[in-house]
Amino acid sequence: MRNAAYTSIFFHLFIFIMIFYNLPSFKSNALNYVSVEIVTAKLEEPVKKEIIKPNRPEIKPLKKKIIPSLPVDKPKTLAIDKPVPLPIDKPVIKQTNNDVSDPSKIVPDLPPTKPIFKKDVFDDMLKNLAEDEPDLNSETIKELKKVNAENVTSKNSKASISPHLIAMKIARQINQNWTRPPGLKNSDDMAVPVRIRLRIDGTIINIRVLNRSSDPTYIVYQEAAERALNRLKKFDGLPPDKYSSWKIVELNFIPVNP
Amino acid sequence: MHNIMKNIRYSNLSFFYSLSLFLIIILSAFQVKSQEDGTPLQIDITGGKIQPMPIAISFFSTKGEINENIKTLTKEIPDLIANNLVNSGFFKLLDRQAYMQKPEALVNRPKFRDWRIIDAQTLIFGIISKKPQDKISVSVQMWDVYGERRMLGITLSIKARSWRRIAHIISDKVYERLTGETGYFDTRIVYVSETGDQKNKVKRLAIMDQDGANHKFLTDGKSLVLTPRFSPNQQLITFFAYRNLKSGLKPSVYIYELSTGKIDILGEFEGMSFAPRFSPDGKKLVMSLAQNGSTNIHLMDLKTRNLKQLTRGRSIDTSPSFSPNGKKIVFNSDRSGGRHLYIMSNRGKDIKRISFGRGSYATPVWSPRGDYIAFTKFTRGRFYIGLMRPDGTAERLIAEGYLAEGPTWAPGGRVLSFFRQTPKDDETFKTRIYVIDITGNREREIITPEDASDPAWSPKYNVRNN
Amino acid sequence: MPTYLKAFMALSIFAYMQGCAKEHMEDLVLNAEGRALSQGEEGSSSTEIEVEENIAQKIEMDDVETITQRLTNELIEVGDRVFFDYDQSVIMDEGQETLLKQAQFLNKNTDILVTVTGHCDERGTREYNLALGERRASSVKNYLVSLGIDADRISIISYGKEKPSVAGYNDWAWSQNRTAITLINN
Repeated sequence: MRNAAYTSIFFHLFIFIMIFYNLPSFKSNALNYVSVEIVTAKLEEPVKKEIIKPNRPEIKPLKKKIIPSLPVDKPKTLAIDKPVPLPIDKPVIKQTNNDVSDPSKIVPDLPPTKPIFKKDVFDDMLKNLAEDEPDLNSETIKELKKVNAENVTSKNSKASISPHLIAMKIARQINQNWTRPPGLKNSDDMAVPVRIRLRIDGTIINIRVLNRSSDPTYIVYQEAAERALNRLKKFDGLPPDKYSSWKIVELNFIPVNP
Repeated sequence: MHNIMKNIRYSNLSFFYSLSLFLIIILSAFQVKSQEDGTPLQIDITGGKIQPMPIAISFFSTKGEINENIKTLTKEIPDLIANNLVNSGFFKLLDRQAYMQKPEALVNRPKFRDWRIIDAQTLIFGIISKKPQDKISVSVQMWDVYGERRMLGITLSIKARSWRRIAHIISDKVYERLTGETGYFDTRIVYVSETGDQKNKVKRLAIMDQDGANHKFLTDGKSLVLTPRFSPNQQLITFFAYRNLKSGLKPSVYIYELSTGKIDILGEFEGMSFAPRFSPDGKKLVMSLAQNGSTNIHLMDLKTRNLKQLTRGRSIDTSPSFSPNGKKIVFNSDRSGGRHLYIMSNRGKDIKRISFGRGSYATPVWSPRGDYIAFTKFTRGRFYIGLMRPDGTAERLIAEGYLAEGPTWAPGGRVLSFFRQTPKDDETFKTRIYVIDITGNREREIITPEDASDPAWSPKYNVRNN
Repeated sequence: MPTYLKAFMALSIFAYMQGCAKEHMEDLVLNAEGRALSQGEEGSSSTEIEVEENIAQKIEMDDVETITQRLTNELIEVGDRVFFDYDQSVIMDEGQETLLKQAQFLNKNTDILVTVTGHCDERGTREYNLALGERRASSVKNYLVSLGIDADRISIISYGKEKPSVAGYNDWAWSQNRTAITLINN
């Protein structure tokens, strides 16, 4: 009963925070939607809807569009130079593992999700919004770092890493190296499947593009995918004890353009 | 609660861990497809960054006999290429001061590690050599820095004084190779040059390169000329003019032949002919005829000069523009009361309204790649340049002004030009041509000697291979 | 037309012609003198004849111009233009009165031909405004025809937003530029 009450509080808080922090983001046109197959079915419907059915406004607010030069570069280099630490390392697991029934420990985990969300996935969209939105980022990033620092202190190296976590680490590192130009044509149908083979230290030793095409736009995306991997060269933080599960990885680069 | 627990796939994890994991998974933009043993880990990557590609364009080096002129070109050609590419919005030029390899060293295979340090994704450099008859030859190579392979190698030769053309052609090749889009740098813009006060303007046809260079006047300004448009083979320009009114001619549509400078009236009609545009095959001309208060769209066969009426009625139907395949025509009409955009077949059938927003819509122009229609919109006292899909959806406004109109597409359909009139004081204006890309992010003015309006972008020129 | 107005007009025309004639007289003297000076003697008869011929031609041309000018002035006094609402070509009450007077003027001067020019304010695209200007000019022509003027005497031309009467960008300037103007053909 008590558990149920906490669950309820958690859920409501979660929904509230999701709505509060992320809905404004959906107002922008530049939106990557994320399909989540894994556990969504077990969650309340409204949350799912809000995530996968972003309300894309047809007409971009003109105010943004007429600004002659976009501050494209600054946020970008920032993202490359100082990758935002994600609270997905073991400490998070540890912390939440420790005390399930104590909500005070759980709630602090939620706010940092906002900057991660924006930084990683909606980076370009963020730039669009930059003119309108007060710059919350520097503050939230600081906050995030604090949280992370706390996590590090309570580090427990023995925690197990699930395949999902491995996939997440891989995806995050690729996303930091994967760039492509804006506004190319036919971008919807340009997913590039790539198989990579990794050494136990995380080094990429082989890249094989699984689908070739003579379409010039496809070639551009294919090269962007290859470049991301060539640029990354080596994955960090993959657990050697699970090497068999990530020795070969099949990646599908799906360019989702605004 | 227990049900939820049971349904979670990873039962070794606590409930809350699963939840936070779920959260993180949402937020990190990827998707794991299959987890069964034996099959490799499959991950969908949907994030990444959309940003201009960092490229390095080194100064060129020379081969053989050189002179002062060629020495200057080793800087001017790469500068012009860089300028073109950066203006497209796809590329970011890396600062040359950070380049570790000198142009002379690049003649051999580049040292890729040096270029990765500055995160150059692509490296471009070239060699210029002198050829007989005041010609120069330019060899350009483009390298994939991370993939360590050559992406492009071309050699072009031209009269030394036409070096800009070579730089534009190279820009097109690089742009096409790196973006998969059609290049538009080796093109020209014909427009109307304006002088005089607002009440009595002198308007002349003028032509220039897309970057404003090589400017030239085509007409003398004795008669008022408006709305020039290129033929698909770039040899003809059609326009509307008030010529020889004293001798009884009506204002009407004319055709100008670029190679000879010859001007022909298209025909004498009952009403006033205007708003001309070529069909994509260049064999027909679509235009408006205004008579007795109504304006209808007509199609003229340029060979036979036969005229076919496409729209009928009392409304104003004007500014027709063909779809790239020539099968449809988009136009502007007040048949519903307000001014809106309509699409019909090239025989005048199946008229369908596509614009439904507030305000007046006009001058629709179909993009050469067919995916957008650009238009002028007037609403709440301001003018806008906008884009919509040919079915009327996804309307977006990309530029605005006190008066902004007349969009025209560059080849490739990713960049367009328009003109804007900005008040200077109570009575005078500044009128200029601007270039903007379809994202609406990069707008820049084209420098012209006088005020400039009614731009028309040329189709792509054919480059002769030998 | 009131008698005093007729009298006034007759007088002014007379005065105007006088003025022109006087000008030509001075011209003649000047020319004659000029020639005389250049030739260094009292003007021979041949040069005098030449001068006279020139002047004769000139007077004739000026005469035509003067009549046109007079009629133009008269038309301006009657009201040479009607105004329209934004994006409209309907002739409003005020315009109807003006056109009634224009029709009377045309009926009185049956040998003149006119051109109606249609104009728009600049708050429309160039091509649409060409069509709208044509519609306004046609509207005026049709109204004059409905008042009994021969359609063949009226030609129309649309200037769209190309030749505004007033420079500037405010409601007043725009209202002045949404017009159709009746001009006497030379």
